[in-house]
Amino acid sequence: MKKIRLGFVRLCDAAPLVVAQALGSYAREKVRVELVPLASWSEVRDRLIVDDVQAAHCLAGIPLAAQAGVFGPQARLATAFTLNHYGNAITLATSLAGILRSGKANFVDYVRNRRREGRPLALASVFPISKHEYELRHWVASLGLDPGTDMRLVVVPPPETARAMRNGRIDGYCVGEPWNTRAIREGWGEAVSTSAASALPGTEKVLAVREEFLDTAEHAAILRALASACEWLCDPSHVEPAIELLAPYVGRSLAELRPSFDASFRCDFVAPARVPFVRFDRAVHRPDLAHGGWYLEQMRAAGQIESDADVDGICARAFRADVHDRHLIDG
Amino acid sequence: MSGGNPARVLLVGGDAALAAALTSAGYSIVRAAEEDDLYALVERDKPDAVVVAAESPSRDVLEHLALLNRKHPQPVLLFHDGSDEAVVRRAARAGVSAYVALDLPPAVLRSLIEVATLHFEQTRALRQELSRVQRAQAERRLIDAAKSRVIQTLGLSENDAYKHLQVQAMNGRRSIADVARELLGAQGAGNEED
Repeated sequence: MKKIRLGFVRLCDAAPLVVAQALGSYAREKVRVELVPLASWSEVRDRLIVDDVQAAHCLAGIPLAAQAGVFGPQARLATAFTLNHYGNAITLATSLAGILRSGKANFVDYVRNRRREGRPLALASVFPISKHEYELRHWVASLGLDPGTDMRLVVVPPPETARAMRNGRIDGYCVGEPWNTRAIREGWGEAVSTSAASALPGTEKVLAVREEFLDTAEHAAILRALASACEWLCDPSHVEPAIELLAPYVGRSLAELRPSFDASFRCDFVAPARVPFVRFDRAVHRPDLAHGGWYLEQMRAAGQIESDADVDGICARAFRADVHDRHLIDG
Repeated sequence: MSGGNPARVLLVGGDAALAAALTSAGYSIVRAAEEDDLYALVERDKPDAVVVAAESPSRDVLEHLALLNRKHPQPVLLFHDGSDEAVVRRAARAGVSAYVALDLPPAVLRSLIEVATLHFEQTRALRQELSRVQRAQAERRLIDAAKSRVIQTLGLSENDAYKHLQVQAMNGRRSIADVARELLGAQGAGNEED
């Protein structure tokens, strides 16, 4: 089999890709894999399109948006494997979280005052077409605020969140780990919501590929390796070895990585979640077309795709549950 | 450029040499650091194009700007008209990412991308040459250290010590540097250099 370049972004939910390499899961499936760190979701998408990486840890929204034509005619990306459900949180600057703690009405007043003073709140996500973006919009709306007019929604690269908060360019953000825990541990931010505690569909990262790669033996081998790595990750006794493997790839400390995996992530603003902070278990891997449909509805509401887009067709081309079944169930 | 105003290019995180190359090719350059507020800069300067390293984390901010308003520069890799396929792919391989306003004349787009690509390719070649030289120097130091060790332990002359390493390398079908590294490592000395 050909050597496969596998892209990932330095985040906790890249764990399955990293663990599969360290445990020899790819080798057992007879596929050689080179892990390629990438710096942005745009870079993930572009390197997939030009076939510089053959598969990648990717936001679920990207293959959907690609099939909807948002990225031009040549971006034919798809996924046959969901890596995880959940894994994000919303973090606000400590002072702002304090206002929210004093009462929802106070918080709403404060946000509207800022807007009237001509310096509206700025909340960041990591990419305009992402669960983070829609999670943020829903959270804002749940407070009775309008995300479009009561504040600015911007994008900030996760490693820049600390600096952007400190110099006042943003007031909060929705991002994956370890970038919430970093703020909490350093004392300048506080988590006010988590994806696991919200009622929104859970699909978060997927393994994205070009359509041409879907039916290859290498793709099937990688999916089997990832499924076994995910199973290994779900054993609570593997938390410590997993974060030790992951730390050099993410470039952050064990203490910052741990809360994502050992249920110690703290968020006082939501009822304790019924589900883990992030889920890698077997039940999440098959692409969920209902979740895909939900993403496309969010894109439509945000004006990112046409209002008459063929949601079912786009979803069926991007979320290839049939390929998942062929490689992992029938295979 | 001949006639009209020069195209305005926002250069994010780029080096001074690239800024100079683009200026002398006739573009009007605004430079920004990675951590600058690109929303404010794009709104204020309304650049015709943005050039940034493909691996810059700021890429996702530029994508957001492109999605917010079709008048903002759009990613070339996705929205070029097809006639520049080879140029665009070569730029992507060189690690250049460009965003351009859709009304930028194709000739201007092509020359902009060519200047940036050439610069990125030259920088990469220089960096590779530098690391090749550094690696060669590190190996030379390693072999010298191993040679001294052999001289000490086996009491050989400098020439014979080198031959000793050479023979081991030939027998094991390895490089002399590998043999030196192993010899020093086995005796608890060498910290392997990469």
